[in-house]
Amino acid sequence: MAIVVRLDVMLALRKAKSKDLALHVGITETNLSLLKSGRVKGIRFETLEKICDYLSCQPGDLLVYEPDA
Amino acid sequence: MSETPPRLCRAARRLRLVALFAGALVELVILFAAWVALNGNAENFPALHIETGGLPPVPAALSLLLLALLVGLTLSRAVGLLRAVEAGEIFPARALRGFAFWLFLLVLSGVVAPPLFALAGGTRQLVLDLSGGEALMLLLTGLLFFVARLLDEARRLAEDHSQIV
Repeated sequence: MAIVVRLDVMLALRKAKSKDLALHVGITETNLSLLKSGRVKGIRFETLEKICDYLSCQPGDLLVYEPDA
Repeated sequence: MSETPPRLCRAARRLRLVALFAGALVELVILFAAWVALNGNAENFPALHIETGGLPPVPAALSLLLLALLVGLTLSRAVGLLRAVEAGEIFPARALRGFAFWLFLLVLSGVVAPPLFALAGGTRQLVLDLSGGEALMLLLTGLLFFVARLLDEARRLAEDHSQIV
């Protein structure tokens, strides 16, 4: 898919743990792991908002359009 | 895909084998009846009563062949449905939808096909005979098809929904 999830990059930049993020967002670690690997069909605005809030970033930092990906 | 309990698997397998055996038997009987209707020698088989609705031999045989085809297709869908249960799918909505569709078509053809074959055979009047039992069967199989379609759509939506975080 041309939309690439950069959540792992942001987590590394912010030195945040997946477990803590999952707890803050209110989703399971399994679902967060699926999201990180891009193996989901979509992401709710509510989830995106909470991730941006926790990582202090913009949606564009998490989702990138790469036509050749 | 959820794991099917072994008891359910065994029951589905038994039912599938019964459906295969019964289906083969029904197919043989219908094909034999078509052959008898075509040759017009029903008096040689007193145990066999073929209801052709007064159709000439060729349309009667064609009508029976259509019935054999639809019974075969319906039973193959039923076998597919049971095989899906055996394979681990507890509620195979898509297979149920296919089975319900062919079942409805089978019942519908029982009502619509004989007058159409009579018309093709040279009758100049189209008489549609619909008994209470047939009407009820049409209603029930039609309802089953629409419910199966609805469940299949619901399953697809649930699957999509589960992949959105």
